[in-house]
Amino acid sequence: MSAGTFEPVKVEPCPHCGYPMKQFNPNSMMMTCESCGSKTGDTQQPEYIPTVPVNPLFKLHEAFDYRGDTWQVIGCQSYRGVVTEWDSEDNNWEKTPWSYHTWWVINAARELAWVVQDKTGYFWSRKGKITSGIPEGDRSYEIGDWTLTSAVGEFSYFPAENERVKSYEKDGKSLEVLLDQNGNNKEIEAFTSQSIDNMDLLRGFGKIEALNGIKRVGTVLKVAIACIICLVAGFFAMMSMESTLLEIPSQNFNNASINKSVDLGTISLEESSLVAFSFRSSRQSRDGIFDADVLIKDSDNTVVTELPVEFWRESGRDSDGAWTEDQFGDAPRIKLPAGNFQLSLVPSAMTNWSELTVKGTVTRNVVSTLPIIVAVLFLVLLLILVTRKKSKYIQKSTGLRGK
Amino acid sequence: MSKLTMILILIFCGAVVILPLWASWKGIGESSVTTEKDKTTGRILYVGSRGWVGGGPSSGK
Repeated sequence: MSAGTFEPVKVEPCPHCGYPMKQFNPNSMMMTCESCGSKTGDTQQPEYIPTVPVNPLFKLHEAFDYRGDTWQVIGCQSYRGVVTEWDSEDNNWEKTPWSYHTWWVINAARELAWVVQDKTGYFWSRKGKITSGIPEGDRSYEIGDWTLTSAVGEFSYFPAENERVKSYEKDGKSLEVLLDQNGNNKEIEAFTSQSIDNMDLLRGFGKIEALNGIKRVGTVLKVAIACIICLVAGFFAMMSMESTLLEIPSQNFNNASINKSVDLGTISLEESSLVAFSFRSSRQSRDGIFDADVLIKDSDNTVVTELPVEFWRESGRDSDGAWTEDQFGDAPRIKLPAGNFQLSLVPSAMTNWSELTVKGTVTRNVVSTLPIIVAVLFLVLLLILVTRKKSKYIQKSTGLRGK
Repeated sequence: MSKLTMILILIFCGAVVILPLWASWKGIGESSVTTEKDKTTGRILYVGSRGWVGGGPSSGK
């Protein structure tokens, strides 16, 4: 659960509507009435009631735990402007429109801190010491030109209408220069900021339901990864069960071998099995094609099936220069029933080559890769979808995207 | 995690891990030849089927 709120240091009725205005920071100079929207110093009630930006976590006077301390939101400022940074590739300054909110928070010791929220995330910001001058023109800094668009809550200074701020930021440290109406430096402050982990933020605000949802999505991710590991491990385990049925010694083929059957040997299968017929030929330096069929017959000399085997080499020249493509290995596979089979190779065509040496191996219990590839692809797709869903869910729960 | 979630995860694992491994082991998706007995002559007939990805006993060239 989120932490309870603090006792106000002062409660004063609003001079315009009488609503009790609670002050939590003893150093606050400006207050905003939650009822009528009047600000300290206003001579009359505003036409509309200014409100803090809609956020599922940060709301005015909402308390949360962070870094072992309880903090309470006391105000929010919204800025809009442009970030200028040096682009070393284009050798030029690059400008990007940007906006951010600064949530003013206070702890029980009435110490101030700021949570800066932009579209990339939340950042924990505390005041630091000014150790250098304004790094004007320094290309290593991100320079921001900001205009205040809204300020609601209590502040330890008087935010001016359309207040302008210039910021210089590098490595989580920033110098913020408050400008006066003429654009001259009015006040300089240094800040250090660190990125806030979204899960820490959800925990701090006691968003148990969102945390459980993210945890569930994380479980699905882990299961999907475990499934992929199991599939790959299972595939290699099954591959270890492959066994060689027959080693086919080197056979020479030439143009006189066309349509002449060459005996390769016999194999015996006790049960139905996926059998691979792996052939490799001698490499050829000229373009050519060798086509053949592996003829499989049963013990009654009945043809069971024929499997095509092809070796080829192609070459040419294109805009990238000379190219060569070849295939000097072929491994057709087929699921055969139990029985004894005679194998022979019948060459059907041989072009441009005068002689070719072919040898091979017949293997049983070969693993079919297609079902595993389909399952792994499905799981990878699931991983991508779930990761995106998790990211969107976190962003939505923390108010970084959507509502 | 509830019991129902656990059961669903186990079914999911069964579907996504066990089935593809079983299908791989059985050579599902590959070309195959099966035997059938001719009812009139009593001879063994070999029936071929193509795989999911090209090739097959009767694909030829």
